[in-house]
Amino acid sequence: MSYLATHDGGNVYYENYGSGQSAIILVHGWGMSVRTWDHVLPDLVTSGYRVVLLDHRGCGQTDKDFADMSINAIAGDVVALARQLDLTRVVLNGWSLGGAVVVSAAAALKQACVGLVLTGGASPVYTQKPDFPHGGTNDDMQATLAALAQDRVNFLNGLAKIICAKPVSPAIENWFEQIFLQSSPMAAQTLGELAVLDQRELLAGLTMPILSFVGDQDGFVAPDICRWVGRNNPNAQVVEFEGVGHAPFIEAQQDYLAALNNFLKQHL
Amino acid sequence: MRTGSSIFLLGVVLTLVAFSSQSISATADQDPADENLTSAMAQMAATF
Repeated sequence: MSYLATHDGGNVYYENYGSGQSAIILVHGWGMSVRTWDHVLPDLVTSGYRVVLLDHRGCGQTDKDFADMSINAIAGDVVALARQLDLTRVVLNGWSLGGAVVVSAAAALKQACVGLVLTGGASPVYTQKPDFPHGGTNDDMQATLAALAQDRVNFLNGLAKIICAKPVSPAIENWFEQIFLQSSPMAAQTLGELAVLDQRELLAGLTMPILSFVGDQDGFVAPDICRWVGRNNPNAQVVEFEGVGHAPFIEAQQDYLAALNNFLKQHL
Repeated sequence: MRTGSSIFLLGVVLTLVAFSSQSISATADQDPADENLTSAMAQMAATF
């Protein structure tokens, strides 16, 4: 078991496969854990890449009692881990809320971040703004937080069933549910921050190559949010999966891995 | 008995699949500004 000791006294769980100073770091989505990358990890390791994964604050095997559960705090953990492992060339891949985490971490890592992957990434903005018509409303987010507070177990049970748009087995849904339940109720703080997130200037200004995966039936992060970077950053390319929901690495696993490996081959 | 249970489970799975498909179809037909008003997560929250 490997842990990063954070500057504010906590311990962040991580896994580290392979060696060398180049690596891909996988950052999961809200309420999830490193295990959600199990459909991706073996292929990347077999391909010869060093792969590093970590659990968010409040999730998986990371400490649950952090005072600071913010997206920037999690991004700080990603940066600290990259530096502790002496990684000088990093590709960051963030799923869902992890997308906002890696955008923040990429900016902090500067030249050490040689590529950025957003997988159904909740960036640059998650809820509608006067000049950003995509995504849900703040009311939607408050309703989600209220549902979590009122009946967390049943809400997460229902949520686990609708992550994917393509039919998946009850075992996959149960697997998502069990991972959700491993997180702390306090991790809702991180989710709530999406209501005020605005990384437009940050994401548009990143200079490394960017790959954004879009499921055109994503019911968690509106597809137009994931497409935004393709229109607003000249270094970005968008790969879209038809009929796919919020988990393209499961719903379109082979195509997802092919595109990801191609990106890594070019940039890592 | 086992056959009956299997049919019941299959029915549950098909119902869930149909529910997911309907939710997603509704989402796909919305204008961008409205797309997440009927998103899967918002719909789920609205039932609580």
